[in-house]
Amino acid sequence: MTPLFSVSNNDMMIFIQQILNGLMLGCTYALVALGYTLIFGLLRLIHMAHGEVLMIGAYVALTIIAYLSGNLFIAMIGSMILTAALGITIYFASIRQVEKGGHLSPLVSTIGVAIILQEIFTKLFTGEKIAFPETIVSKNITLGDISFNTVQIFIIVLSFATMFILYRVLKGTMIGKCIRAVSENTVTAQLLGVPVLWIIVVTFGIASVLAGIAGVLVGIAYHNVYPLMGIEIGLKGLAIIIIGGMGNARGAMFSGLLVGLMEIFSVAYISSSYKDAFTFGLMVVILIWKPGGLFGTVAEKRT
Amino acid sequence: MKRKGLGLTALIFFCFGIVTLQFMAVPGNAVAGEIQLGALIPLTGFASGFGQNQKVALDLAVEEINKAGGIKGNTLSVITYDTESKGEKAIFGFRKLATQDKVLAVLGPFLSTEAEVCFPLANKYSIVSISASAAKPGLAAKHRPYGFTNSTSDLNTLPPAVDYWEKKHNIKKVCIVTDIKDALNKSTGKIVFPKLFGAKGIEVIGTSDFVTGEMDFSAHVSKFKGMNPDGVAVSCTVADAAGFIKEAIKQGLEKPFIGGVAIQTPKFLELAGKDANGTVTSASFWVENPVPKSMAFVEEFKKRYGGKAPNPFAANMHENVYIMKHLIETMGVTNKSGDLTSDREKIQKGLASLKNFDGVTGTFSMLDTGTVDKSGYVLMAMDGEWVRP
Repeated sequence: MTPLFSVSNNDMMIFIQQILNGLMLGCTYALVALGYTLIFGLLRLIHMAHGEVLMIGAYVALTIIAYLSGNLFIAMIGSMILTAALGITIYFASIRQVEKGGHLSPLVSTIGVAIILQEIFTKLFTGEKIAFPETIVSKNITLGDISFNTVQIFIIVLSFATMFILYRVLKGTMIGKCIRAVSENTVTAQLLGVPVLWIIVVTFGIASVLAGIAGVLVGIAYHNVYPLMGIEIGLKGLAIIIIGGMGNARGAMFSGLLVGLMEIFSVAYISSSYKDAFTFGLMVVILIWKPGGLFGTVAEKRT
Repeated sequence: MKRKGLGLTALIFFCFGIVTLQFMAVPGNAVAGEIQLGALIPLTGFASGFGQNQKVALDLAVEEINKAGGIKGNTLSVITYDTESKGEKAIFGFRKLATQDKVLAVLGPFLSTEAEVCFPLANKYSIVSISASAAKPGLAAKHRPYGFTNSTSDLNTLPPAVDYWEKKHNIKKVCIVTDIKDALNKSTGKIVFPKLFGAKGIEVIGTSDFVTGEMDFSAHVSKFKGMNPDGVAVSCTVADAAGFIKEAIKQGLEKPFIGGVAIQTPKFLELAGKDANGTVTSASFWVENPVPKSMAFVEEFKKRYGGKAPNPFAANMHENVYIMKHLIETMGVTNKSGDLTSDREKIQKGLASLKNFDGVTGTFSMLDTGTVDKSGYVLMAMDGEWVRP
């Protein structure tokens, strides 16, 4: 039987494999960055505990699968519900209270929340990495000369589905329109009858659900979870929204994928130990040359 | 106003009192009838898992000695400071042990990175520092005469494993992945493995580096996949080694793996699961060694550590306490506050010429390089256990 399509060159095969690796990493980054950007768009503030929401999403799934013997579907749902609740709680506990103090107060208070959450989870689960249970059968499907891994495909498909749904929600539904209206101008939106507080709550919920999903995917993809896992991914998420344009959802998606691919290719073809330097270096370059990000940032808000 | 002043005065006196008490609480020297040693262990930070394990062995040895009548009738006590797995905290603890607590010798520090900064202090204060784990080759040799390691460098531990691995899988060409941020693994991946492979005529066809705590190994694995090696050497800390091997199996790079000494822990088996099966490494301590001394130690250790077995570093620490007991008894250490300098010197002399000491890992002697002449047992991961292949 002749293969469906044949890549004679071994290097080409590895190249395609690396693209898949990059997409998988990029998808996770994009989901995290989307959460950041939604919140930034709405409130013009950076939610520094967002990475910890991701970490908790992973731990919730781990607990459901390993200790309550649930399956991945239940774990995913449980993780989404709890992270949504957590995100909304963080808003009421540490952002709404101090919002009037300017942009800096919520920034600092969410850093505090992040540290508290890390400490709580270190106490609960120890600071060591814990193995994430294997839930998806890891199998390699060969198509021609290229082998696809089921886990990788699952993560990429699920992430793109999530992003597509989010895109439809933002573009096509009433809630999406309200979110965009509040992003543009809170006062006008309120005058036109948009329930602003409700929209903020919903947005925090959506953003945190995205982080929760990303957390579970990180657990599945990289097999382990630990209390400080949110820091690195959180910082990457921040760099990504700066690269893509603050508050720009499309920018977050594309630059998430871009950064994922860039990191993988820097490991594969340049120097592996400098991959973070590439991401943050790109961020600095973007800040200098195109301060609004690749896809443009949201306008300064008139309130 | 006057009342406020009074309160303030009282407060100042109170603070002064606390400060004075603090100074008094610090022992100028050992209490009569008590022999004091110091220990530096990473009880928190990334090496905390190892540190906890080692602390159990330390406490166990001290308790055993005191139960059996102490050292020459004196109780043995060990002052332990947490290094938080960081060099700067280790320095701080070392200074305190040497100058304020005035201990006879320091057990530790744990990491090669910490030992690199503490051994110069050992020479400065003329006090023995014996690490039970720092395994970077040449570490003690660089810091003669007071820096010692009772842990084999991989250069001595790994040859049996490389030998076994090469013969079993007929290895001709390998790839090496290295954590270049960790002192031990950097030297294993960049110096030790290439040297051992070179001696056997195994060709290193590819290398990949990363820094501790890498999340995504997919690119490294795909890179190696393209090179098609006969086997892969993994020189990383426990979690990263497990992450790499799991990713490799996931991508279908099902090659024989060999790891540095750092991976020989139960945590590696737990994190890598069944994907760890067949991975080979060497260790200076073999938990199932059917020698009465080892068996008794392992059994007692398990009782105190939730059924978990001691790792080689814990075993070395247990030995170090007994080495100190042996030296204090045989070298004529007086343990008088006036003799501190000469006592420390005597311990150094005794340790440098230690011959055929019988510990829980086996019988060994101290070499001129300040490290012990232990070799390694080949161990293979199999269904959640390290077994002798």
